[in-house]
Amino acid sequence: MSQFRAKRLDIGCFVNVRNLRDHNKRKVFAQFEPERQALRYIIHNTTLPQRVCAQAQLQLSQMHCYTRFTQVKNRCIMGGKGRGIMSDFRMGRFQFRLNALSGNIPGVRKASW
Amino acid sequence: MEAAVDEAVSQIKEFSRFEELKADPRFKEPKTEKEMRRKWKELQSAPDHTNVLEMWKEAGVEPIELAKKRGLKLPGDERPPLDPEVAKQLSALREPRNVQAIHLNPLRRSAEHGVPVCDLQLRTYSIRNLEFFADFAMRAAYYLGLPAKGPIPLPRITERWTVPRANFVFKKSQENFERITMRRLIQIQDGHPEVVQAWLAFLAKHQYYGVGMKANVFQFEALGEQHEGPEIVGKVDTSKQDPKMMKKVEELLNQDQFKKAFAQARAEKAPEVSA
Repeated sequence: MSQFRAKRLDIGCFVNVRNLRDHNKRKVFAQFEPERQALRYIIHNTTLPQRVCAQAQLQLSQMHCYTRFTQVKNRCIMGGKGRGIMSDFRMGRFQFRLNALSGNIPGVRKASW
Repeated sequence: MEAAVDEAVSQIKEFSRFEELKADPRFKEPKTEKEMRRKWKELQSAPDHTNVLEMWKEAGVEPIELAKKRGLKLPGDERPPLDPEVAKQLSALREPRNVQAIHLNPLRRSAEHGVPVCDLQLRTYSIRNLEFFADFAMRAAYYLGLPAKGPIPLPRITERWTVPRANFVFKKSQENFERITMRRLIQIQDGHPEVVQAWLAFLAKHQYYGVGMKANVFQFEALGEQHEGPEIVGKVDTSKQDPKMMKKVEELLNQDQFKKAFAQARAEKAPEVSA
């Protein structure tokens, strides 16, 4: 969704359209999260009239899909892979291995026990 | 007498050599900007001429040896000799106690009541940095007058990952990686909350590389009516809600659509009340 895209490139990792899209989704989610929470608060607040709750429900359902957390997907920041990402490092397994071997990940080393 | 004559002769020789050098086209000062730029380029492109010493050596002058021969010293190097009496008194002085203490284990104060006030956890992947910083924290606590227990070694956190060596298939050949987190706990007992805050701020200011910090601060208050926390108004305690969200709720409820909804709700309710 181009209306959320920054005018200038604002990420420093591996760039492809899917990584960019995910980045935008994360930003939009962070921006609109207070609003979503507020609407949810109004919906669950039983002291408010029924009509107000209904209005809040309507508004919540009309919000853009990018404001949902379920849209966010972990992607490899080194290669853009979308599956099998190690969430501790936000990298695919092979990129993790390469970076760990070259000592780019703090504290991670080859194990032997 | 002879030595002095020799030196004079050598000085004259050096001077004549300097005259020769001056005559050399390489030592002429550039007259125009273009010439200057060309010369600068030349100097940059010639790696042997990057510093003055090398240039002098190239020209056959050994400045360091010459300085030694003539007994020259760099400015600031020479010191007036101390009076022997003063020197004796100076050597008899001992170092201040707190300077001596640096070479010993950190001092600690004993807690009177043993009430834990703050638990500081230090974490790292490289133990040396942690040991150093834990020592620093203990000393800081001592000099701030805080009784500190520790550093208590906590169990290490070992995380392991196994990944295939290849980027594609070949699952049979894999590699293991691990990350071991070392932890230390420093507990402050009986400290005044403000002093504890000052101690934590001091540690945060002098953070050491490769060491993470986490502090749990405990507050105690009297039972009964002397309640020091945020005042509870009405039935709903909104103080625990996210302030950002509550601000947004207010904003939303002031919107036209919500105002309309409120008005409708009131209109629906009104006949019931009158009936």
